[in-house]
Amino acid sequence: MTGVPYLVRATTPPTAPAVGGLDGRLLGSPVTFDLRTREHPVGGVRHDLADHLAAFGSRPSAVGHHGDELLEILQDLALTGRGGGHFPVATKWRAALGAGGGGTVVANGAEGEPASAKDATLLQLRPHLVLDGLALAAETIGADDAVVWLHEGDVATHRSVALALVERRAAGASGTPVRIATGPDRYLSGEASAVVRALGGGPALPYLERRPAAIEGIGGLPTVVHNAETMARVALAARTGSDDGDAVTGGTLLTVVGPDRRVVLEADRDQTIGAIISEVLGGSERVRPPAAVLVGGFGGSWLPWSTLAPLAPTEPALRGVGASLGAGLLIPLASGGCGLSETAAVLRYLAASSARQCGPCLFGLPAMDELVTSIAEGSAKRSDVRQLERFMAQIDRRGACHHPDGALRMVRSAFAVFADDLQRHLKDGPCPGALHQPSIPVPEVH
Amino acid sequence: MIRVPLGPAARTTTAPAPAAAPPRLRVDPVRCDGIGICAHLAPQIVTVDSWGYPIIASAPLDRRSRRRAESAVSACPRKALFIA
Repeated sequence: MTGVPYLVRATTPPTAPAVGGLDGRLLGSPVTFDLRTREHPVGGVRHDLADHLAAFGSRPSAVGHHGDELLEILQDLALTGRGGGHFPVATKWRAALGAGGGGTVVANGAEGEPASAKDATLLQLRPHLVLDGLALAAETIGADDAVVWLHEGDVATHRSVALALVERRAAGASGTPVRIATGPDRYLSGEASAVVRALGGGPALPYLERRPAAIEGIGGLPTVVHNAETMARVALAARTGSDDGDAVTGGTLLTVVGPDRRVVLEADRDQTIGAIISEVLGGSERVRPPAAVLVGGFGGSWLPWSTLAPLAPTEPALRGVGASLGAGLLIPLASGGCGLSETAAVLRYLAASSARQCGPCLFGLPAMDELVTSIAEGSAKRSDVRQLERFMAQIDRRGACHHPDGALRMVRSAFAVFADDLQRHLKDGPCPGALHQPSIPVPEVH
Repeated sequence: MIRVPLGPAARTTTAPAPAAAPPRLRVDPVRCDGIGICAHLAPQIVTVDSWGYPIIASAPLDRRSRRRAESAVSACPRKALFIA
């Protein structure tokens, strides 16, 4: 398959969703991607509107008191945002309603994380679930504008959503009209405040929300932005009600990054992260598990395998060890790889991806990058580590968005997890693993 | 057992603001260009980082520091400072 820009391989036989029933699954089977492409043409079976209705049934209403009922359900299920923030959905909607409702609702499919492909997968295979969630949010909040936000280069996802909108119009769908809007193919174009700013006519760059956008967003009106997966889970919740929480919140879409491919899969809360990763890595007893895993995203946390492997793939489980499931990324350290070199490569990407608006991010991340690179290369002194710690203390929580905080979290977790490697790099120079190219797929930033 | 530091709280910008937090001098870092007049006018409240950008003391403003903060707010050429 060399030369083909992507590779799709179901690692288990595709299973059609139970017709007329709800098994709570967003996806039938895992979907495999090429490692480095930023476009996400997904294979597998796309649900057109007829398939969608056969699998999930028609969308309940959220108009009037139905919206109140949906809010109760979302609160009972404690559904939280799956874009990385894991903020309670019902709380966000109530904030918008408390500000008078109306305004704009957004399904955000612009995955900033370069390795993540879960939202593209969802929007290409189950676009109608996401659009159902968007319609439910619009009805509950009384929004008169509903938007699907995408990266402009994500052509395949754009095509799937546009087709789904045509299918719905042909079927006579009523309710808030939905439009597609796009932003540049950059890391921060999908950051929630950047989406709000762009839809308000500004650049797709983060801004400091003096008041939350859910209260005062585009044009001073409530603007509720949810990740695509969050919207799909809202659509499930409206159908199942409070009694079957596992069908809605039990599953999590994850992107697992292997040495030669990425796999998007839906994990259940009764699985362990160790088993999930082992299966993707081809987990026979002969394969040694990774020493550590970068969890959540490039701005996530390194965790040692022994800490991570027994955990369930849920946000509370990860919070319990001081991490977050973030955007659902799991990036195992390659066999023989150097965690510090991988950290330096990821940090360089994050520094280059700064929106270049806030001084502590614009100048602080490159300053960190220089020091972490010297540590990875084995040329740093102990005073450089102290200087790095001073820089990190200065950068902490000083951006308009949390981009620099993610970089700090990632570097600090690396120094905790790879503490022995750090001492060896300072004392003896680079380890053998540091001489290889980093294995994490870090794209060029233009 | 390897200790992993708690990272900063995950992004929760759409959380309703905590009720009745005491007023503080704040900076909009997108507007701020690190000109530094604030650090001259209100050195008790504002220091600068390694790159010249303001770090604002976390203590709530009292009557005297509030006056200094207000002078920094009105002197900022980028209108990056506010009290909230």
